[in-house]
Amino acid sequence: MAAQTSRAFVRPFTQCLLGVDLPGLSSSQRDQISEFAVFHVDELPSVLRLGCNIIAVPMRGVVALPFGSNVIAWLIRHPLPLVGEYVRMIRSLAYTYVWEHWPDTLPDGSGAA
Amino acid sequence: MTVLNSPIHSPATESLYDTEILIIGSGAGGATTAALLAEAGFDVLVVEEGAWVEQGTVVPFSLDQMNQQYRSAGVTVALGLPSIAYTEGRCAGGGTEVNSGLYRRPPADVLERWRTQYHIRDLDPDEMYAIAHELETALNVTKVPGKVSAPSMALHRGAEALSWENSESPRWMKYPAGGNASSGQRQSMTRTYLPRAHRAGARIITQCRVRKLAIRGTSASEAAVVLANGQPGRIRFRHVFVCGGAIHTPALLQRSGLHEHIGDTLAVHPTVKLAAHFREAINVPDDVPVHQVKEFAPEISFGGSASNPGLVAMALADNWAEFGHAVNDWQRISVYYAAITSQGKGRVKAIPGMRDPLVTYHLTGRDKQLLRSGLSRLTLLMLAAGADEVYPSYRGAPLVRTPGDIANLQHSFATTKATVMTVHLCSTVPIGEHPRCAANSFGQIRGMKNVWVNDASMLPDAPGVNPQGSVQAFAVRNARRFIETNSPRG
Amino acid sequence: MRAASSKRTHLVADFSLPSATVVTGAAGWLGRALVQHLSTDSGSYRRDGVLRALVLNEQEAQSVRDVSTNVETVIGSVTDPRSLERLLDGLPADTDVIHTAGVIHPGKVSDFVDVNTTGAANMANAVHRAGLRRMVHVSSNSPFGTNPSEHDTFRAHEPYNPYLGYGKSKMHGELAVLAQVEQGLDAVIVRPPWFYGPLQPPRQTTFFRMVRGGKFPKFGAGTQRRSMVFLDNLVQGIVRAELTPNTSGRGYWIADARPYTVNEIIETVGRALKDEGYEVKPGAMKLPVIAGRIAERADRLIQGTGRYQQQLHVMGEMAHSIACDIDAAREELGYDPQFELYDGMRRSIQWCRAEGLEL
Repeated sequence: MAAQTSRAFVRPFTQCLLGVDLPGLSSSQRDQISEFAVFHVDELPSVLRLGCNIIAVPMRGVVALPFGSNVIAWLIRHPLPLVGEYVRMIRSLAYTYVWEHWPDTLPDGSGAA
Repeated sequence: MTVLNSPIHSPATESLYDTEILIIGSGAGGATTAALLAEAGFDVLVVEEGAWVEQGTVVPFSLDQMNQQYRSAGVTVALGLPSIAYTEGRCAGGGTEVNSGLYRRPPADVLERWRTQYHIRDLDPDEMYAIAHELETALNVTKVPGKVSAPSMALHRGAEALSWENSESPRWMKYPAGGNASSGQRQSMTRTYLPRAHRAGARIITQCRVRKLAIRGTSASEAAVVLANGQPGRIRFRHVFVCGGAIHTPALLQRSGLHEHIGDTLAVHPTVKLAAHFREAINVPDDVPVHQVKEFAPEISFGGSASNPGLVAMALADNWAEFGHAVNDWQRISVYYAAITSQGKGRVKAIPGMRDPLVTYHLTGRDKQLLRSGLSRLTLLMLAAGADEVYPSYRGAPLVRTPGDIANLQHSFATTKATVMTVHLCSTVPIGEHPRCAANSFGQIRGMKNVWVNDASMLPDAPGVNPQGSVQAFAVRNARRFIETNSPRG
Repeated sequence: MRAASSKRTHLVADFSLPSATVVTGAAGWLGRALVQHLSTDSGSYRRDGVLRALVLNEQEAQSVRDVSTNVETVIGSVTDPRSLERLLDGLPADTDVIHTAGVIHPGKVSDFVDVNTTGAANMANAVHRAGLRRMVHVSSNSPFGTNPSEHDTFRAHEPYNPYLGYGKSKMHGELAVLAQVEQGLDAVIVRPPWFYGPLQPPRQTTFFRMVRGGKFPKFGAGTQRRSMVFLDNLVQGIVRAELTPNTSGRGYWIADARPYTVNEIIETVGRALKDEGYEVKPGAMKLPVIAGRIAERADRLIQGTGRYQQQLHVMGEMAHSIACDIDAAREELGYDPQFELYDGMRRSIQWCRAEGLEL
């Protein structure tokens, strides 16, 4: 059931974050990275997983807003306590994944094989 | 001795195991304890929560390795302001399979501190160094044949230019004849003490998680476990050694009803990082530098981190708008760390109904100053080594090209903006005769007849150096004491 | 910084004594001490040849002449490049310049930049243009801030971490000198921490009075470590830096042999006062560390508005350690400090008494 929660809430957030942060990624890359993020959230130690899912729920709401990506962009630059940790974790995972798998990717996410 | 022809390890499948000695965890502490006790004639069963992953089947420091050999796929955090990300091995051999392989003896002043401040009985430095010598032979502790890697050389070059003390840390590695810095094979527990334990008759079962110990009065009698197939199982024993690492050893003891001074004194070596760009290619994606700069030790130490392109990107991510452009030049970039000995303390707290404990850590004001100073000095070191651009890893960090730029780093740095990490966790079940210790001088839990700890959780505080050598030296010492005072069941 | 020189023993190949020596900031505490040491029989480093001193006005010129008669005074300012041309006019190529001019407790924060940064840049530029042999630039511990912990000691090479306006101006002063070194100037940087000794300005008598009255501020346990330098040690260090070749572009801590704890300073100064016949009330004004942090914050705020408050500044710094390691000066310059705190303090007290100063 936890995995369901992560998929429903972490995945759209990651998609949105990648759209803001690394807009050049292809949609299939975004899918892969989002799956990877979901996997990691599911693997988190109990308390962190619970915390992440609690944060992921309202974040899912933010993403659905028309100006959601602006909020995400703001959060990347102005990390709030706890919420900031969630954003940072997803970003770290995403960046590591992108450049480990496609090391020639340009800084905006484009140009990958 | 009937197990000699059996495979060295097998997944846990039987609903009931019976053993004289149960060892929970197969890392530096557990594997060493298993080998010594089995060789002394005890009937030993080692249980490991993770899988047995052969060396060479995963790329070192890769995401794949994180997924296969780290707890929680490598994402574990001690909560605090700032939170500290840490990693733990969760596989046969534990941390020894995934760490940097750098070996340091326990420093003499640290042994003295532990003896006097924690009242560790019969802690004789001569004995400890004799054990260290044995370990160094058993693990083939050696220096790199020929030239060290380029990122390691950079540390050395920079430190020499500043007249800062630095040295190549030896590693437990075997190099083939005519081999070079990158051809070593790590002498981790799956290559050394676990096979030794097996040869002496120990059984090693993997994918077996211990939920709790059944304790009545002053003894424990059996462990409730989850088998490889997810089914419950039981293990009966006469003595149990808990060697699950500094997080999961105290968590298991707490779940079993043991609380006194357990999990209250987590110690770590917090680190901050930077990425340094050089004019020439420097990156070695699958290994870490062997040089360490100890000029400011024990308070601050510098060394090199794993630097594959994914990790370079992660090091740049905190200020991606300014630093991101560098990622495509990752061949000319290597990642370095500054580590401190922290005066802060953390806690490990098992929570009823949850699989994993809550881990928290609090850095003191002095710790934060040391991290700032450490990152600044590391930046200077990189400039002295010839780096033309340095990218400190924290939000809003300045690009550093000249010594004058470092002033901006010192002023804008805050630990809450940085990705603070650690790989060295210890001291959650400190040993010694002092009332604040959780176990006696040889790892026997206070008030318990047959429950012992013998892993990183027993070190009274953070040793200020790579801790594996200290963990193993104490594990050997305590195992020998156990052998002297207990006889194998006939 | 890249000019890593191998460690060498001193006295291998000293420069010969210069035909002329220039001292800026000559009417200051250190400047007068230098003039005295370099040009009078009571000085330890008496040399022949021209000694020229830069002073701001006739009153300062008189105070320099009070110390020595063998000195030419030139009225001018490091903030005025034309006056520096006059200062260096007609001097032979083997002239050394000791640049001590600086502002430490200014009326307003902008003085810091004008004197400590622009002044140093002007001086380095003038010395380079005049083609003189060497410039010794007297800097400070302030570009490096305070140690991150009580056990930490600054090494010869440290990252800049300027402590407020003064530190920042002194850092940029160093950088300006180093930029001229890149262009071919021969210059060495000397970094003295808190100094003490004869010829002290009035604010230092307050220091003795506070110790006598048992009112010297002590934060927390008083275990902070402070490097200090007795004036005669400092003069030796400056002369060693002046006369040691192949050190251009390098910076050296010049301090007493070892740092002292605040407790030790209070105890030793008290003892020196007692042994000089003064009555001393034991103890110190104990303050929580947080008070020091608050003073530091307040100092920061006030300096942010362009003003400067001396007491706050000193208080803010007192809660920290400022300890440095003089090994590089020992090894590369042959610096060998002759005075420790007790002896140095007794000499300072004796000087105050001879001058008729109330302690």
